[in-house]
Amino acid sequence: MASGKPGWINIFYGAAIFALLITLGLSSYFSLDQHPLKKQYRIPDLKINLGAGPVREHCTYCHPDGSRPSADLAQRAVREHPDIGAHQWEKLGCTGCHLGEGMALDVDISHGLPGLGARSILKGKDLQASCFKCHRVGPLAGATKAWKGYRTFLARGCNTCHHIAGLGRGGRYGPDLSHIGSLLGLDLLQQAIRDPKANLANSIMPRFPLSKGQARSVAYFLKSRVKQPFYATPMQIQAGQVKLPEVSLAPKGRELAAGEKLLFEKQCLACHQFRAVNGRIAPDLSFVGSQREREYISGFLTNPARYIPGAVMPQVPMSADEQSRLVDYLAGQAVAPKNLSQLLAQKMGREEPAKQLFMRLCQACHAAEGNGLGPIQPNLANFPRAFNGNATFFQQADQQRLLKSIETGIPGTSMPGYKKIISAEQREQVLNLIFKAFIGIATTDKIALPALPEHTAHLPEATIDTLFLEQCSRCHGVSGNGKGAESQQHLPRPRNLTNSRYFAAFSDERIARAIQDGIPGTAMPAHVELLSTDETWGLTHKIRQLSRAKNAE
Amino acid sequence: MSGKSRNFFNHLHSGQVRLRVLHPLTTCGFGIAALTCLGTLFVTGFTLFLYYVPDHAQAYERILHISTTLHFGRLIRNLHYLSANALLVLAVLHLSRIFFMGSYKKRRRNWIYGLVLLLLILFANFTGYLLPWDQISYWAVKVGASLASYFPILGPTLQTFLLGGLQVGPETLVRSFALHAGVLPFLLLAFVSLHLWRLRKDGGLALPEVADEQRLPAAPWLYRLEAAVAMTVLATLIGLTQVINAPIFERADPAHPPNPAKAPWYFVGFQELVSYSAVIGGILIPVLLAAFLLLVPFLDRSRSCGGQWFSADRRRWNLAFALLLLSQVVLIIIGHFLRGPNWQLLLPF
Repeated sequence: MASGKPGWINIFYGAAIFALLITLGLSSYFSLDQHPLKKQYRIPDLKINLGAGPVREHCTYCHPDGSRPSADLAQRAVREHPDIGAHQWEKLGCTGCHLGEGMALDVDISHGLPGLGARSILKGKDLQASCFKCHRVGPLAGATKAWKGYRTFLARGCNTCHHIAGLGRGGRYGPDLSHIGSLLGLDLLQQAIRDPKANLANSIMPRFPLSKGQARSVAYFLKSRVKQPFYATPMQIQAGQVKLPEVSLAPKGRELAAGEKLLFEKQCLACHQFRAVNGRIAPDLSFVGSQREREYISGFLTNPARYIPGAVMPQVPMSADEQSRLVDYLAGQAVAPKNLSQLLAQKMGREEPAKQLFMRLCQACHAAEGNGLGPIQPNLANFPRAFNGNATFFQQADQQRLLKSIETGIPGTSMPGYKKIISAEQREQVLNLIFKAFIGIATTDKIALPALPEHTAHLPEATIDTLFLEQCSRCHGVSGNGKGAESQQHLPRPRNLTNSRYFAAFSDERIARAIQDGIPGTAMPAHVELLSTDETWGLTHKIRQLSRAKNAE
Repeated sequence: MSGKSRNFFNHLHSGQVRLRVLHPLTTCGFGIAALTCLGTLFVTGFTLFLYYVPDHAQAYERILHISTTLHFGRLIRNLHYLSANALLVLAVLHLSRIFFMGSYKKRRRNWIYGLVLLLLILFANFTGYLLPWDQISYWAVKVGASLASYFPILGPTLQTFLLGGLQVGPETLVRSFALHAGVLPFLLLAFVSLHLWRLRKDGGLALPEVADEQRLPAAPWLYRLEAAVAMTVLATLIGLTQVINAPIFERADPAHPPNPAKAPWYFVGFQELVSYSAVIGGILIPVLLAAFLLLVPFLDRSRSCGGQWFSADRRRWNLAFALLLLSQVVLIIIGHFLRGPNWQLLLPF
């Protein structure tokens, strides 16, 4: 039966043997040919003891004697490692300062794989990011930028929100930065400082006005905050013996009142504006004594979110004595001069008081374009009312109500009252200017809204709760805090319905009207077609419950 | 063969084989190919065993050392990685072949052994995944372990057992290594032996009886064919080591998950399901899937003899299986390739 024998098996068998031999041979050849030993007689294997334990590295394979790599041996002498006192490669190794993966004998892997960049190689100017891992933070030759970065870190008040080991006190609001250098690379640190929302869309960290260089300096300092600093034992760290130096934050060469000095030292001016110093993050404190009551200032310092729910301002740690001195200074000294508009006119050299008042008092939040996107708007808990392109809102708003908002401010928000700063006449001038320049309608151009239907029957609470979940929670959140699933899509953000101070100033009618007719210029739609009268009033009642506030009137 | 044969392989094969057994489309060689991968894994695994240290502070550097400094280190590690993935694919192909041919008929026990082997392979693959201790492996195991925790009662216990605690940590690494290198190879060896022994006991491949069929001696024809398949697989794997490198990412950082964190590719299908519904995707479907595979030999009452491709009276079963297989493939493709940050769908076009 010779014909029935599957001869192809023999061919397959032969071919398979051949293929296996070929691939085995070729890959063995490539493996040996590409192996480091092919290029160099031996692989240096450096083992050193840095404080945190033994470190093993092959770096000197490409960097003999710590030189920069070059195929040409003569070139290596030229590109040799600079002599920095006690930093000899045979004693300290390479990765202690330069990072990288010492055990990899591969250019891409040993210089740090892409990603967080925690182990990415440090060289050139970036190398100073390593100095303060061992050296005490302070002025140090070669690490001037890292030292500057530390001072910037304090001056911009980073530690009021972030905790960092060695300062003895620290914020509880941002992530702990004590070991951040072991986790992230320089580029990511720099990005996180300059654009906090780039990696974390809902980050509440303000975008500090820092140049690339300044942010890089802070990143240098932060990169030196590592888990196991080489010259500090865990006991020393635990006992608080590893300390970051205190730096005087008050500007030198200028006589300051004790209170004003406190504003610098307590890092208020890292964010706030005070006269000529402008942190460009938070509202102006120059006239806060005229804008807010003494009790308000004192209470706000103790717990900012009680006064403005959602405020990003942290509780700044300070002693009771310091706080009372600060409050004394702000309430007593930080007041507006009587002739503010004249002073402004003198300074600007023009006679348009309303315009200059707007630029001095309103622009930081409401913007020079009047669209509410002022420079500090992103850091405010509530969106400043937009004027530009928002005519409908102002057609529906009573003129007296608008004037009153300027006069006494809007409780529960950052809008202060201007009663003690500018006269009633000037307030009206500013409002007229806003109408003329931004809103584009006459102050008398008003729409009378149809009367609200009368309240007929009370709906059961369960029905209203379901209704709230259906109609409101997408934006205002299940708990009414304004952080619903869709809230991030809208600017102005949905109102925080638990803001008691804000809603206490509202009449029931105004809340019901907002639900029924919506709020022009915001994402709040009219619900007149969607809700019955009873339902509208039921939801009004629900908002009263959420804000735990009855109408003061 | 004449005279007494002392060939060990004669214990595993009958002396005479039918001509059909040798036909390429009868088995497609999946079983032999999978066996070759397993053998490769044992050899390369033992080599890696000599250099790897299951300590969270050293594991990553050891992997770097193995794959960049040692002679043939990269080759061995790539081969281990490639064979592991090939084994899983081939095992599933082998299972599909058996299903579509209905070969599990009258061989229920061996079908169960096969399923146990598939489970062991998945488990071995999963425990090996963590060992490099880099970002992707760390977070993949974290995701994989949390997928397990969706299972009621058994899940959390299993998770705690696997992780050696509630978090992926140094203990997990030691456990993974112990299971991967100390327990699973022996279980695999035991079940492969059972699987092959059962096959011999059941009378070789399941093929319908045909009268007056031509027979050939197993030696040399069957042995040559098996050796040829094995060598082809090995040659392909070795060839691939020069093209595909076993992945290595940054050191594991428990504080910063990659976005998205994905399970190992073979579990991504379940991760995708869980992203729709934890109860349906995490419990119901895996249980139904397992029950289907486990019970098929007992439920399939069709009359046709096993060993025929796509026989007409098993059409429904085959269709059901094909759908299951396809759905897993599609889910894995969606989960693995089309899911971006925050598990959002990213279309490649």
